[in-house]
Amino acid sequence: MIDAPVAFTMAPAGDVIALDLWDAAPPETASGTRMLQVEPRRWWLIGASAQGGTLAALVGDTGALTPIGGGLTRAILTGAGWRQLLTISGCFDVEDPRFGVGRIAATTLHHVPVWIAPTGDETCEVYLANSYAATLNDLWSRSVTGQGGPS
Amino acid sequence: MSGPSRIPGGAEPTLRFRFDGVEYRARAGDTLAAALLANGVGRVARSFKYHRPRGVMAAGVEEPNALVTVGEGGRTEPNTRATDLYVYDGLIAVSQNRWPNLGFDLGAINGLAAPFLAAGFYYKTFFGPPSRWMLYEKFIRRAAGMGKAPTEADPDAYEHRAAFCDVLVVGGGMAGIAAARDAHAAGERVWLVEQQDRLCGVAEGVRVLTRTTASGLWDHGFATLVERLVEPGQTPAPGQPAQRLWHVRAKRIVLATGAIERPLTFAGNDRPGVMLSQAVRRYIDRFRVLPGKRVVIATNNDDAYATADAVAAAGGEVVAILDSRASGRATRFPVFTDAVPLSTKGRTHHLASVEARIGGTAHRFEADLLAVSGGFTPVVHLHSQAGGKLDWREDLQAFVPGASAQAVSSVGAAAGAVPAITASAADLPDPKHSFIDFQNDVTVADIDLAWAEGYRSVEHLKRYTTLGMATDQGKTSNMAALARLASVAGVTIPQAGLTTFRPPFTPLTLGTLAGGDAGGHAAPARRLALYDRHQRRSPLWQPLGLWHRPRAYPIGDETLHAAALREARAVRTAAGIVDVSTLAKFAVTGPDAAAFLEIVCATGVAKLAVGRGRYTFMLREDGMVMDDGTVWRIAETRYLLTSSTGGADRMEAHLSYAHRILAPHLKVSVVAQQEHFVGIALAGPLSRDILAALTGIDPPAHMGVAQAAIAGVAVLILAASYSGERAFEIYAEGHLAGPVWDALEAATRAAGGYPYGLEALEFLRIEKGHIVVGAEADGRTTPHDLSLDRMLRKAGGYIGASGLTRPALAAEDRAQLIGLTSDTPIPEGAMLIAADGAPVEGHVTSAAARVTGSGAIALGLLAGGRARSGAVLLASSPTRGKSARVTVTVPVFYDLEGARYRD
Repeated sequence: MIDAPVAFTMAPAGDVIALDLWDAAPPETASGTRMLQVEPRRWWLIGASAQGGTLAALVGDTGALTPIGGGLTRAILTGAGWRQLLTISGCFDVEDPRFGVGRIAATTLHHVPVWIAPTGDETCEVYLANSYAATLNDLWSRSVTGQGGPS
Repeated sequence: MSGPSRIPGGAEPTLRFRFDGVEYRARAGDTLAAALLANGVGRVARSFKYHRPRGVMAAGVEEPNALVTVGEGGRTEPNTRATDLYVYDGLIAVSQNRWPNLGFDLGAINGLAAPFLAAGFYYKTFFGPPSRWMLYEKFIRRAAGMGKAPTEADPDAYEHRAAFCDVLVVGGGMAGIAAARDAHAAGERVWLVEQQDRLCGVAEGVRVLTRTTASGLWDHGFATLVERLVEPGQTPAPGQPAQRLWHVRAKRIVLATGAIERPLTFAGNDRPGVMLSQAVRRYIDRFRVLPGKRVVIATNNDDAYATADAVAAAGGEVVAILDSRASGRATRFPVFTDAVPLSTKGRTHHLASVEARIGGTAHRFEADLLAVSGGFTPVVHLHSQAGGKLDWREDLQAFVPGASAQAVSSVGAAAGAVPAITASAADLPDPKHSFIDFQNDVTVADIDLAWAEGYRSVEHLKRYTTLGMATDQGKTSNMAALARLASVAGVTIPQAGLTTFRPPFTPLTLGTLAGGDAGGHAAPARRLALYDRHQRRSPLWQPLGLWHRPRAYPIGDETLHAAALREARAVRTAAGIVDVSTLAKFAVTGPDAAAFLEIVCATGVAKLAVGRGRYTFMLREDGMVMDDGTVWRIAETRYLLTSSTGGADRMEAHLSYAHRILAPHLKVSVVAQQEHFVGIALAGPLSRDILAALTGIDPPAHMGVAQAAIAGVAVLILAASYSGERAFEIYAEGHLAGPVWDALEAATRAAGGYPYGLEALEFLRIEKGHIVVGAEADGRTTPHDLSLDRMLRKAGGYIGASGLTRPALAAEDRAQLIGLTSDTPIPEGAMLIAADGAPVEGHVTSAAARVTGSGAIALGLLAGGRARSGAVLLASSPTRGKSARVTVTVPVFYDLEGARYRD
């Protein structure tokens, strides 16, 4: 259990598109679209579907767009304790103060592959495959509320 | 009055605890050992082998004797060191290794049998044919071990946490605090851990963990720390774990782990009332407990003289200081040089007297406590675990840290800053009662015997005598043992060698290792997107890797087999739907997508028309079948590749390898979409009509692709059949797929069908002769073995093509895929033999009942199997006591022509 306040919600990530670029720089996207670089040549576009064909035209033959949001859950962690919460069963230095807004970490929590994206001093997003959501929900619920234990 | 007691004055003892059923009081901050001594209890345990009465020897984690079982029910923890257990209100502890009680222990009869229980007793006694071992085992199991493990489940939670720092300091003594302060002053992120409940000072700006033991030091600055949030047996605060395992990665590690005082070797050195000199000081200074009133001190160094001062200041009488050296220090106490203890006599909770040799003369001292100091052994365990070398210090008669293999350094006593000693080579008149390893009752005579019987290596000595084993791992005994071994061998101690230091430094609980991974599966469970919808039908769930999938949906009191057969027959006669969401799916996109797929897939891909798909399989570099699936051309430069559930992660890594390593020049994007799409297979002779009605489109022909909508949700339809019937895989975005399942289920039920689970899926695919990765494609089979070779792309160029050119991989006597039929159930996994006792020729890979008709069918791998149709064999599983007479057939039992899945 952690000793700083944190709350979390989980919901379908929905509109997430993987953008792979062969060698071009990522395109300018419309306002409202967030771009997270998750691999050297891969970006996630969050909330980009509204751009529709415009986005495809922007990418053109410099890369490929693939929707992946149907399989992703987005957890939003709020409170000063979010970094501490993510040390539980983790293996990434989430408490490093340099890990802030604009950074993203692909790592594991409790054996679950996750992508951690700080969105503010006291807020953070964690993306994970839908199938693991119940497992992480259980782990975090126990850690945040301190209720329960091994069943 | 003799024996241990509380020094008058100070706080009232307010904490209640029970030891062996008797209630006592303790002060806050007392260890159980301190509290027992304060209450006059000096005998706290019985020894492992001879059941000799034992007391408290040390004041820290090195304690070999004072082991207790603490707690009740599932919180029971055996073998807890009374010196490493802080008393809390309500603590319950019992002594171990005695029956019926500590005072009257029938096991003490072993002491009388000691001449027959010397080193190697088990090896010399329990030998013979295996049948005799069945008898021996009962006695050995009863005698083995110390405390008893609880049988009830542990009610507490445990936690694993990650942490990172620039500097990890292990040990909260003066040296550790100084190192932590220096590192903090240099602007570094510092952690300081201390296994006791407090530091020796203050370390501002440093992350401090007390009651935390650095249990292991591994590669690359990785340390595991065990933090006790409550004492053993204690109930944690609501919501708090009992213990926490920290995974710490540090750029630099400073070991300030101190040193362990060594006992002296003489007859009766194991009695209650013989205690390490520094431990006596610690009980006086820290706990205000005087372990004895009349104290003899035996030493080979200057440090023990400070104990004499402490005893006197606490109101005790220093009867004598026996200094083995030629000259002692000036002191107000009676000092005898060239003096060593020879033996002791004891009472229940303390000593009665000490016999000593002073010069050449024997003397007896009436004393209730003998404080001994045989020198100091730097705690080099973590340094050694981290791959560091050890150097020998003659003046200390101990090993000290040498060159480090990592960024690990030692400071203070751990680095050898301890008092020098003058080693004594006094004769031991009674080696059979002179104990070296107190925890395992190993005497000087045992070491001598092991040497006499040819055990030369220190590693062999350890295993033959049990020296240095069990919970203390020889912390107080190893150096004395090495000294004795070196002496009888006529070599130096470094030449005698040293056993290996392995984690953990002190015992840790299994709960700590498990952390949150408790419960049946002990691993995260992956839940289907349609979990709730399945759960409504009360399926039998089947773990499949981390996934949990419906195995069947029994109705009423249907058995698994009956439910699966009903579901499978519905697919053959009407329709059924099954959740196939767990299949691996990869979007392969870009101008070079086809070229990339022809590297990965062993079948042709480039000529696939848009809107069409085909079966494919992938090979390893060595030519063995790795996985199989389908590949679909969705658009001109966009493909969808599917492969097996179990191989999904492996296939993702394989595709990454092919892309990044083998073909980085290709303009292609490979993105895993396993969970982006929920997959639902609709199969059966009515499936086409059901789909047409739901979508309003003309469903695609076999291996065709279509886009449509079901229940207002966009779906991708792939006309593929795994069951052998006309079938479609329907993919919808994961978060939107619920209504699609609902619509398909309703329509299927209306048509006389059902949802079906994995069991029915198996029946159907076995009957159709489809292979599955893990059973038929078991990592040892080639395309030729599985009759897939006709599908191989003749131009080659795919992964595994070179491996396949080896002629032996296409030899006709290899194990080949065959079918088997029988009138009786065929045991899965059974070996295929001509008759009982005949050589094994193959095995059954998958077995099922016929969905249509009666009898049993199976797939198998049989040497030269394709040429043996009609042969009759025995499928025998001796481990399960099952067998069946089987007939070899082609591996397709249903619709050989494939007419049913084509329009």
